[in-house]
Amino acid sequence: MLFNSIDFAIFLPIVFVLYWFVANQNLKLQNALIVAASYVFYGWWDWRFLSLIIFSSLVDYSIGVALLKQKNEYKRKALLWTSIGINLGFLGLFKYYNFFVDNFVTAFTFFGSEIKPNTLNIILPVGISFYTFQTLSYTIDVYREKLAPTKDFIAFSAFVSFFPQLVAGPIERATNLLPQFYKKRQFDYANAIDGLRQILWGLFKKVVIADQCAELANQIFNNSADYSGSTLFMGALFFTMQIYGDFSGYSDIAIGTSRLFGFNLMQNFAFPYFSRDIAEFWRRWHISLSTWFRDYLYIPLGGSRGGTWMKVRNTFIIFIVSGFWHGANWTFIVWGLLNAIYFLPLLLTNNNRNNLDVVAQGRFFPTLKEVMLMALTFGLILVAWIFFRAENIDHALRYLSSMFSHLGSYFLMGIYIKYRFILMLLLFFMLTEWIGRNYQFAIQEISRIIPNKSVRWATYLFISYMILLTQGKPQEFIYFQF
Amino acid sequence: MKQFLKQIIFYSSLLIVILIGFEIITSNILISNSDFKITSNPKYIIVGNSHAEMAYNDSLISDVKNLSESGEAYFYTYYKVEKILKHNSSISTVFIEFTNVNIDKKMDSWTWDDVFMTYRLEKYAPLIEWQGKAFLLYKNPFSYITSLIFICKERIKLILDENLVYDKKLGGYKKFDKADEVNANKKSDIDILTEQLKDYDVSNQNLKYLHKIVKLCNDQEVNIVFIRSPQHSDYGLWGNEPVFQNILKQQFAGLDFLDFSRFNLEDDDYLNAAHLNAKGAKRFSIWFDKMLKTELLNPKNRSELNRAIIQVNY
Repeated sequence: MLFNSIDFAIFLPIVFVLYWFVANQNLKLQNALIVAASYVFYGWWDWRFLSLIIFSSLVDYSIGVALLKQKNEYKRKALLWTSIGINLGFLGLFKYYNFFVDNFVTAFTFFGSEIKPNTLNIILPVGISFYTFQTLSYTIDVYREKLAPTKDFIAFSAFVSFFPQLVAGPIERATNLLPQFYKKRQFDYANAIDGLRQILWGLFKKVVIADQCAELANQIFNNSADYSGSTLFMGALFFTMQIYGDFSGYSDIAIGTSRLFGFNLMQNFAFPYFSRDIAEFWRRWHISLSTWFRDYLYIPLGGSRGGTWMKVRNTFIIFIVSGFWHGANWTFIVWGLLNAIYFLPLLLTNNNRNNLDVVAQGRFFPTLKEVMLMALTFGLILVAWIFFRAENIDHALRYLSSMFSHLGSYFLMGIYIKYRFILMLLLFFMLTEWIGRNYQFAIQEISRIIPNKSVRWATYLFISYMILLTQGKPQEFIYFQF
Repeated sequence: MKQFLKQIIFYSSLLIVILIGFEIITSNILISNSDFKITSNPKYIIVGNSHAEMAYNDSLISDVKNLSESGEAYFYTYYKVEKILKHNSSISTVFIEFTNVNIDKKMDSWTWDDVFMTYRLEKYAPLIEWQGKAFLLYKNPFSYITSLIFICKERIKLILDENLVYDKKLGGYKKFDKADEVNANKKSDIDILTEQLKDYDVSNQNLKYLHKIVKLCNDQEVNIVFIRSPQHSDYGLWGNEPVFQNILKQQFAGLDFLDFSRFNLEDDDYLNAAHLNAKGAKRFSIWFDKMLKTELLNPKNRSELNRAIIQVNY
């Protein structure tokens, strides 16, 4: 079920009413309703894959309980590796099996041996990378004794399958989300209104920004050989905005929906395109994944302890694995590698923690230096996204080469005339994001900017109206494929 | 919670009012500004569904404009014919596809199922009067409202582009070069349609609008002729032929019915059992053009015409 679909517009009020009017007396009932609703939500795509989620829940729940009883360190480790093996095994099978087979075949062919590939016709279950990482965080935290294992299977199933964030995050930590299922939720008016506001802004990002940019980005990327450098630049810009609008929009809708049900999820995006360097960008982009890798991969590998070589090695591992997490394609790996290369100078000069605050804190206008740093960072990110979006490495390289070598004769004016509508829209969007950059989402504190209630409501209606006007047929979120 | 629900209801009501307002305003803009004049000033138009859409290559037939479109139920055809006749006084005859599928109950879904409705409303908004929209809303309110949401974008584009000339928007000959899938398609068509025939039911709704089209033409003193485009002998809906003939005799007695369904074509003239491909359409259209020039429509020549069809067919 897509958040931007009529199905979800019907599903959400039904679950909301049942949750607060029927199941509100009893914690177990509230959790059971969430599990049932989440399974319906997920089964809407393909009910067969529900078995994967149920199996994964059963395995990690049982391992959690076993870890509680087990005091022998070797056996505890074996239990942990069983969970990791099963979870990553499913992920590997569904997501990476054919990639590895194809690459082995290519490698063998290169060395002169012909082998017949035995690939499988596998459908990638929606959101498998997200819920796999979420359940893994539970087992690892229980193993590390940071979290007491749950004995409530319904609460655990609700944690694994919680529908707002099941298919595209934020990837919640068990330490944050699971305890919220132990307490009966009380309706909080302010939180619910804030949630609705966040849903509205998320839908705006997805439908108005991402889907509009997607039309143009697809057109340009799919026919990149036919366009001049200036148009290719615009294609890369549109994709840069598309992926942000799409993914952060999904996160906003997920967090907002959770608030309607009395849950608080972690912030997943913190205005990443206003970053002054790549390190800051990665503290602001897909925060739930970056921190997951930091806590469960980077730190166990030694983190920034040890010598320079160790730091560099760990940084490269993190970025490459992060790229590979996005999909079984070399383009994602190169995208990760490129980000690691961007990050390296900051790491080696110990400048990777320079910009921890919000840009232009306490001021409306940034300094010239800040503008230049943001522009440079944005430019680097834009180039990296070309690899992320391209069909293959060759396509990305050709795209980049044409982008810089055939700029076209009418760069600025031509672009303005051709894309003025979308550019005005993006300007409005980025300006709103800039004004709201100190908060969880851009319009969270809209009442400070627009104190008059009627004008505020008119603004909400205007945003809703824009969503309706540009809706068209619902488009899937990019991150579902990961 | 009460306050929350009140606000939600109030906000949703405002949104619905805006949506309805949008529909009223944009429809009026489209209705008042659309141009339904056909530039070629044809004497004849052909309307109907995909059978006619793929059979009549109007570039090969003099004075004819093919306005047929895939999956079009008579409800939409009615509004199309109404607008076209109003703005094109050159038209003397309307050929309307009347074939086995047009009496089928599935025509109801072609009228008000969500996929069909969204597509038609997006395209035919300026054609359909309020009465027709109210009918669709009554038949499938959920899909109608969702269609309104989905068509907003296209509606705005249409108005902003000032692209309101409907000459090329209301259907037309569609060319398919393929012939190699004939057998595969024939089989699947037959399987599906034969399955449907097990619990066969007639679409009175579609027939009601066919009657309205006939009345409309009669009122405007425009000749209306039923046509049945060539169909392969394996066409699945041949099974309802007795019902079809019965309806023709009982409900449309006295109307011209030109039956080309048995027109002699080869297997590779078909895209599938129900539709001609480009090769078949070319053969058929050249013949149709010739017949039109030799007074195909003169009832006095009907026996000669029938002989002509028979000569070609058998």
